[in-house]
Amino acid sequence: MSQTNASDRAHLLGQGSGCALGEVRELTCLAPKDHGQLAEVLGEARRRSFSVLPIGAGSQLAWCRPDAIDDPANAPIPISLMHMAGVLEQIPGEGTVTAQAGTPWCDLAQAVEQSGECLPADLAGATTSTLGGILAAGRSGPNRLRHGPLRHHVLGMQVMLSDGTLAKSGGRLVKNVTGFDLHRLYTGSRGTLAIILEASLRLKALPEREWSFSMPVADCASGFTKALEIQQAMPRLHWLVLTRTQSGVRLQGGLAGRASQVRSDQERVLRALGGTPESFDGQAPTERKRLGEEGAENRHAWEIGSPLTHCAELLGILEAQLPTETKLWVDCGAGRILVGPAGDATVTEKPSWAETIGAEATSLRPLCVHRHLHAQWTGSNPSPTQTNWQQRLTCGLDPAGIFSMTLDPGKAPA
Amino acid sequence: MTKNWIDELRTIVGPRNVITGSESLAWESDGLSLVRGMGQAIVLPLDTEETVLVMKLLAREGVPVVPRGAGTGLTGGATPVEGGVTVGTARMREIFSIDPVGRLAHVQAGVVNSDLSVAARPHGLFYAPDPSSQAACTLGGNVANNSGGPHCFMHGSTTRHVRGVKLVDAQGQVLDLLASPADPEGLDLVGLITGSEGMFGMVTEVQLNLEPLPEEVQTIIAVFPSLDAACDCVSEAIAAHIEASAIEILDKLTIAAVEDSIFAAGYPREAEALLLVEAEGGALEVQETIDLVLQLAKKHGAMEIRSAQDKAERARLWAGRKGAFGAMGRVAPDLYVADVVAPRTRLREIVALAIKIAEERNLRLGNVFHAGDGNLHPNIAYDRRDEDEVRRVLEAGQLIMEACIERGGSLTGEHGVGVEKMTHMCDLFDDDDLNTMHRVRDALDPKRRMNPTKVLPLRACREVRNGGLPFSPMGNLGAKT
Amino acid sequence: MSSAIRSLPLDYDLTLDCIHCGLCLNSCPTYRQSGRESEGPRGRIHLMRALAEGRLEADQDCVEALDSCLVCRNCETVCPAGVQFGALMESARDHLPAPGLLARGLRWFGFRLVLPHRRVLGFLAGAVRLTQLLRLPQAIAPLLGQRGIALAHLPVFPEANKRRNLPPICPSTSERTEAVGMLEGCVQRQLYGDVNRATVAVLNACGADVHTPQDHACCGALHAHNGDLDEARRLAQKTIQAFEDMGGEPDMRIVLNSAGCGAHMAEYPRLFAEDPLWLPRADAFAQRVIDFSAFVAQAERAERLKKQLAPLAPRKVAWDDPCHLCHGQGITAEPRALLDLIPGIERVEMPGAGSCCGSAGIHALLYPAESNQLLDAKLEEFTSSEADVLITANPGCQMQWHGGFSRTGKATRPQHLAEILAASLAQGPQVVSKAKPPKKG
Repeated sequence: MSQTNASDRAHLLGQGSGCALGEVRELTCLAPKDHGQLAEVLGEARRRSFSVLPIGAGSQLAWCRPDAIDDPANAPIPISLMHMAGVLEQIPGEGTVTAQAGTPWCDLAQAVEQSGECLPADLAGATTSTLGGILAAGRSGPNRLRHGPLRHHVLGMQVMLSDGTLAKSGGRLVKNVTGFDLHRLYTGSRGTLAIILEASLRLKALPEREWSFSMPVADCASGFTKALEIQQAMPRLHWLVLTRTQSGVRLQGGLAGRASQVRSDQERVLRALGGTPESFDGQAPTERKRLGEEGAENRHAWEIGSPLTHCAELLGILEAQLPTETKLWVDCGAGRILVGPAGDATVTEKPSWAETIGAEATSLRPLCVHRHLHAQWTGSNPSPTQTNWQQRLTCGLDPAGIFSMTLDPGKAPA
Repeated sequence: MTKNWIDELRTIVGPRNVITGSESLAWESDGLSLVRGMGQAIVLPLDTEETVLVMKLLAREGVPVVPRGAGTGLTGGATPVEGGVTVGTARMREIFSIDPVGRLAHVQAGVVNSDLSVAARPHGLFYAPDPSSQAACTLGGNVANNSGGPHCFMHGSTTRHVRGVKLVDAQGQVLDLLASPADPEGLDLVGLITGSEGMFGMVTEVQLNLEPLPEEVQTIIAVFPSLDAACDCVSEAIAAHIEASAIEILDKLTIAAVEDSIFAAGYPREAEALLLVEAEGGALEVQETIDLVLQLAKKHGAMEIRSAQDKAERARLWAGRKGAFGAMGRVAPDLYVADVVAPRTRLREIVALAIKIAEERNLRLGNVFHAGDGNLHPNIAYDRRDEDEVRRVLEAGQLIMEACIERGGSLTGEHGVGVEKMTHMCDLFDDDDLNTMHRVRDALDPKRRMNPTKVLPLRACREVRNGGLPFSPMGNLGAKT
Repeated sequence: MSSAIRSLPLDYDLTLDCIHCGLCLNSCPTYRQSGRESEGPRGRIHLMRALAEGRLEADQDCVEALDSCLVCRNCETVCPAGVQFGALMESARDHLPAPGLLARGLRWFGFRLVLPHRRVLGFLAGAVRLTQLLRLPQAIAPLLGQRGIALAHLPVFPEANKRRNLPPICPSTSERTEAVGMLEGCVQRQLYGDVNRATVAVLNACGADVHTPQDHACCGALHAHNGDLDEARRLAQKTIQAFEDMGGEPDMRIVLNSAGCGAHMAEYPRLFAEDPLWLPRADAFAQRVIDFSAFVAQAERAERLKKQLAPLAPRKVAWDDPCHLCHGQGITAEPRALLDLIPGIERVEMPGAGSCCGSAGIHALLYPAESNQLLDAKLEEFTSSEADVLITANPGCQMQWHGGFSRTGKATRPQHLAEILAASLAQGPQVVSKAKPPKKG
């Protein structure tokens, strides 16, 4: 094992493979220009037993930034696909798009908008993120309430395994069940199985009209109960988010679609809300974007998953225990709660409230916490079989173990 | 020679639920009756606990396992394998719970698809994926095959509706992914398992998303003077980002078969092609969608357009569509159902090609398909006793698949690969793609005991290097009576 | 008994209609019960086909799979390919040995020696009534397990004067418009004479004279369903002959108040497919056969009847479709329409009304545990419908429901559609029926 730091080792890999270096978020990374060069980099990493990390735009990696790792000698070397970007195929009338992983999400969104379509996940806040990074991180937008999570709209992928194998799964068509859905496995795998090279997504029609509301509520628990009521009253809501900030707790939501329908639905939503909500027409997309940015994972420390039936209760517990300045951001459609703090501060201690929410939550995931804490954190308690399956898959696809540092650094590949 | 482990199976699930007698012949095929196979036994466990014991025993004995739901699959995925044991979910029929707030249902794998929607209805909910066999097929089978259906145009295939599963793996270990959060923790195993055609284990319980019943539904049929015109109409509607819930096309032969059956729906027999479109959602958006369809249908020469006047008529129109496959039994004793996917911009071209391929081989071809998704079902009626006809059918099937793949299409949209399309996997995937799938499979089932000889083609050189398999590949596609 | 199967080309061709799609599976009560493909319609057809192809030997397992079928024909209602499952099963059973001693005994003793003969039937009914009055069935029931339960809860055979013949002609009680024939039946006449008299009352009220053949008992349906096609043919010939000889108007409709008999008689021509002498007669006969509810629900008759119906005490009634009415004859709307005519009562839909109650001819005797299980599910559905009275139209179903109500301690008894119509008629002023008005339950 090399004694040098990540940056030095990046240079070593670059020299060995002939790959140029680049910089993402002040990190030195390898920036291969094509498949061949990426394969060279991975080959070199295998030979030297260096672990590597596909980094996208680096926005999701606050918790394991290689420079934040105690033991720099074991920090993974970032690989950026910034030079492997661009839309590969978008045939008008097919309703799909295929693009390279390094394509910035906002560029992709712009490209499909020109044909009257939009991406299936509303990640307007993700200005710098790449397609590959968003998929690898398993992110979804608040409009999952209407369209489901982004992973449901991934139609196929091409990836590179750690041994340089190029492998594709799925396809570019809206409907296809040929072979295993390995693209579902890669989505959300956080770079532990393979490097995503390209992906095909199903597109949605660009809405004619958007509308949103924002309304103060007493607290998160009652706000969530209200959210469930609103959902019952209007099943076509596109998104519904509860936020707790310095300025109080607000329930916000939006509609999108055919203009006539949105107009009629917005009246119904207002009636169901009662009170005096703020209502946005023209500014609705701006509001949505602002909210999306607030809800970026890297602005939070923890992600809690909960069944919708338990969510209100859980929020009650959190509100009672969290300091008042801690931000909360709740995606009411998914039962997904993001817990502050704001900014880029890194959490270094296990919070006291974590012990008390166990029964109500189905998962607890650290986002912006220090790497060593992540390693010892076992709050989510996957079953032994689940852990075993994950290990087997990781070892099966990456026997050299050069990717597997990311998810669980304590685990040595068998 | 007595097989003690079969007696042990009997102790686990009860003697009536282990079938080894002559009646096991009833299980020799699934919906693909062209392919047959006989294993050593059929076992019908009642729940996850029994399944665990059964799977542990079979693991101990090194016996291959074929999971089976209702056996309505159309690619031979549930065909028994030589030396194997078929483990069926037909007795696992309990709906454990329906959560109206979270819009989730927790069911056993053997619950029939349409039974779930019936149970969910009092809560104002329904289960969206509606394969044509929904009156009989099981939800566990739907998960295994990532089944589709007409309304998947709007709602998406099964995989978009599976929230969690409980699976018993090849070793008899329980993988419980039921109480999952909205996004998976760690790897998305549920997404991997859905559509894996029973090769990673036996799904015994499923947690599914339910949808609110739509406020408004409208259904129309439009009669076209030609199949080409109907296809063009659909391609244009897709390009216009139509937001219908289902877009189906039926051709003349299919219409005649349906109208002769008990599912006669009042489809006009003189139609060369019939477009069946449904829109659901808010009243205003539904009306706009239907208006768009009407406008496009007229533009493409539709001769008659009719909309369903009430629930009963809508139900009839759909019953006819869903009975279409079975109704083809009136045309000939056997039916070959292809399941290719065409790029939606090239519908007309590929449908026409399929017709030409069948005509050249003097075969009777009926087309009934999920046009909105580009998912074609060229159905060829034949008689399996006619050896030459069987040969021509298989040849036509192969040519249709190849033609589709050449034009950017896919092998299967909703039926899966099974035995039928296994050898065609190489047309779509190269060695590295398939090796990667094998690696995932070997990671989870190193002895390859789960549903062997299905989905992934076995390439001789590799198999021999890996030390061979405990059974012989069937390869009896096209077996004669 | 020989296990060799005679090849029968007709069977084989019928099996070819099935393309193995499996849409029938969930409609099949025995498949839902056991989960066994071999006990579902598709599997059974597959086995029959394999038998005909000589790929399968008719051993005990295979015979049981075919014999456990209820022949409820629910699968025919859902089959898109139009497979004639009932016909297939009849001819298959005709070529197969009966699977057990009881079935064999029933076939040779019950079907051949008892059912076709009025006097034997009458004697046996009297004898059984005697044992029932002495509560013998209840005494021996514990020895017979599940079968004993059914036996102990059989309806009591009525006294002799209720088992007597109908007069040859019962004249119309309103303005006479037509004449019809009617079959009294074997079990029906002995156990449910009241139903026959109620039927006559309703038909009379519709303006029909009712003719009944005087020395005829059985239509042969049970024989056909249970693998005795030879005897079924003989009884069909007797039945056709009896109605041809009976007099009245030559083309008058033959009204059946028992769904099983009606479905079978309408299919007589199938029995004589290869008999050029009898086929035309069977054809002509089958054209005349009509179910009671379909006959009465016809617009003019219903109109006439409606005027004579008087309100009954308020109660909720549920219609349970007899399988051989809804699946065998496709009749579902008519009986419901007739019930809706009766003032005072409310008709409620019972979930699963078209699913078999487990009576199924002699199935309840041969497979008592399975039969009781089916009935339990139906009883639950009846309870969930919140109905007070169950209405059906087949003696087997009535017996089965009677047993179910009796063993679960429910103070209701199943009624025939004709009975409740006649009860409503009896409230009205105009009714002067020659036949005694039925006793109300």
